[in-house]
Amino acid sequence: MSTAIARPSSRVLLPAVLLLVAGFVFIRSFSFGATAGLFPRMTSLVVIVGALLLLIADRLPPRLRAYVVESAELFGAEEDIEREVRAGVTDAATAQTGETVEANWGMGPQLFTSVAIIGYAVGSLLVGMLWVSPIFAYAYSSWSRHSVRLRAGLTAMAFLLALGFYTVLDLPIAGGWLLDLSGLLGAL
Amino acid sequence: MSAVLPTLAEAAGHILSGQTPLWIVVGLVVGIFFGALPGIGATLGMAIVLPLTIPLEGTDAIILLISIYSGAMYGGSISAILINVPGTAGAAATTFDGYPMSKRGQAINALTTAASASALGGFLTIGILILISPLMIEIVLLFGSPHYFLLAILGLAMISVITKGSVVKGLVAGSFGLMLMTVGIAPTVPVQRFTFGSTVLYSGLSYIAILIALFAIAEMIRLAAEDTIAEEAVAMEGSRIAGLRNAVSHPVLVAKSAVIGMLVGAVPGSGASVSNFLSYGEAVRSSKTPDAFGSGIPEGVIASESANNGTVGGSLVPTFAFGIPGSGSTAVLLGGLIMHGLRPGPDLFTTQLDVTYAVLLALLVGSLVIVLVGLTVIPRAGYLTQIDTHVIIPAIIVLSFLGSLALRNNWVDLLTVVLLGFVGFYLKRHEYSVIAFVLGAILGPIAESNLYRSLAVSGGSFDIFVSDPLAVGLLLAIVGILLGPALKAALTD
Repeated sequence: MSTAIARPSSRVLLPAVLLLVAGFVFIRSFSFGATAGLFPRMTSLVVIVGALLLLIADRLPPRLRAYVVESAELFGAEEDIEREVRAGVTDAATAQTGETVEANWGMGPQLFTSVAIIGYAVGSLLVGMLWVSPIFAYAYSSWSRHSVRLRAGLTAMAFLLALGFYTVLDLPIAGGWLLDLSGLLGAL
Repeated sequence: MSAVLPTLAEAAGHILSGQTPLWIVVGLVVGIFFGALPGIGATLGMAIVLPLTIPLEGTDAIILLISIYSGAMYGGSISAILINVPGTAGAAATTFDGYPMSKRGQAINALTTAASASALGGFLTIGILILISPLMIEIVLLFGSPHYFLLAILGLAMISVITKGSVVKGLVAGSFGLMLMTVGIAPTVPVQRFTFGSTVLYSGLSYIAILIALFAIAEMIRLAAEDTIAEEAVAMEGSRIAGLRNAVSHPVLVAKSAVIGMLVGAVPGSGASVSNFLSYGEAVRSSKTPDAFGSGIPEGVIASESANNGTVGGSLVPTFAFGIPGSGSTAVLLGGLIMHGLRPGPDLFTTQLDVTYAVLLALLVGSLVIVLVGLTVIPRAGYLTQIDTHVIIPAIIVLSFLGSLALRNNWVDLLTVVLLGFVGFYLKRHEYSVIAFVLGAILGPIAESNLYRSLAVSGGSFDIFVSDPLAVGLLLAIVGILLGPALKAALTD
């Protein structure tokens, strides 16, 4: 499994972010009055206490630390087994091909996928998802070194899917905050 | 019982009329497709289809989703049998005997045995559920607002304890999901919360966008590091009829495995991935030739496949009755119920009983379709297991993006999908329960409404949560479940 975008510090960063968000919610909840503020206060308090415990887990007494950090695993969890099955998928693939996905364009697969997702989202907001969807599919397919036929197929599929949503559900995806290219469709 | 039969007849009329039969078939085929792709599975398939159900009538939408779930349970066996990699965790035990059967030139026997066992297991458990439904109605009607609030907390507690990762991580994830859903206008008083004056946040965050983020986007980022299963496919040889006969000639094994699946499915957090191993283990234990298991005998396939489809029926009990999903797939199903205005709980067993029965009957009909598809199409569809992961990823991301915008035409949903997709990736990486997170997001508005309703009835007193034996029992169950791991550790020491 690639560690391209998951550095060890994310183990600490994650509860820290959750703590910050929950802290904000807790403080702001007092401005909503007794009724509307109760539920956000209760839930954020649980997150604050839990995240704090996770952050200081290494300094806790062993028994409490075990409760805070270690898996209860009462039944042999669904997610646990799913993860093992998926790990098996990777192992089987690696054993068969003798290699994992080759990093193209100088990026690991997870980093590229993450950057592509962010680019796709930003592009969708700026110029419209209808136009950016095929570009995303083409870029991903090119990065994966698919054949020209497969690239063309995926690009066409992405455009047709977006066009389907545009026409059937009347989604305003032909334009974005920066450009409105809905006139292009008429021209096409 | 007198009200049950006319409602059953009404539900039967519904599923055999209009477009409903089409949605059953479409759902099963889509489910089999997603199930057959290793690493994809029912939850992701249901999550990306969920926004597409918006134009459908509520009952049809739920039937489509449950058919995907059921189809994926069978679909998982295809790659398990043909390439020794289960498409879903629920088919993991199918590899033990399914793949050796394929290597011996009995791939078609194994596939049709799996189809028949899946169908029979599903058929049997749904039949049992219909029979015991009058009793379920009586039980569900005992619950009021305070109990539903406590049930939501109990569900989160159970998921936190049962799923991978520590109890504290599970609780943090679940509570964070609950907390995110407080964005927007409060349910009982017209107060804006965390909207920062922006109208796009007035209606809050969409739990469906959260669900797509955690089950689709986070999964695609994770899956990107995995490769295609390039194993050489086995030859598609064998007999369809022999496979069908295998399942039919082991009625006790089918029934026992299906019931194990149903019972396990009814426990939140322990779905088909647990039941198929339990059932396989029981089949080995009770067999006169236990050593033969693992060498490629049909009994191994039957035990696993009957159990995983039996789990589908069992998982509907806590989902429909109490709004507590047993797995990621039923969490999506719960999201679909709420999205289409169907509230889990008493309504689904009284005024909307026809919907519940229609879903159960659709699963019965679906079982027959699984046999038909398994006997006719699947023996020719081995190429499903050879699809490149990097073809699937862009397709699912595009569908997820389009689906997120289709929900409410609100760009906040797109941002939710992207942001929480990354959060979900890291949550999984560090063993926080994403199911608890999603459950929190889905149950948030329900739990908050029930909390306020209970407090309104009691005049603001929390005594209402200990005012009757049922509430006290639920409260004790929550405390017991949360302290269970600590007590277990103390007793072990």
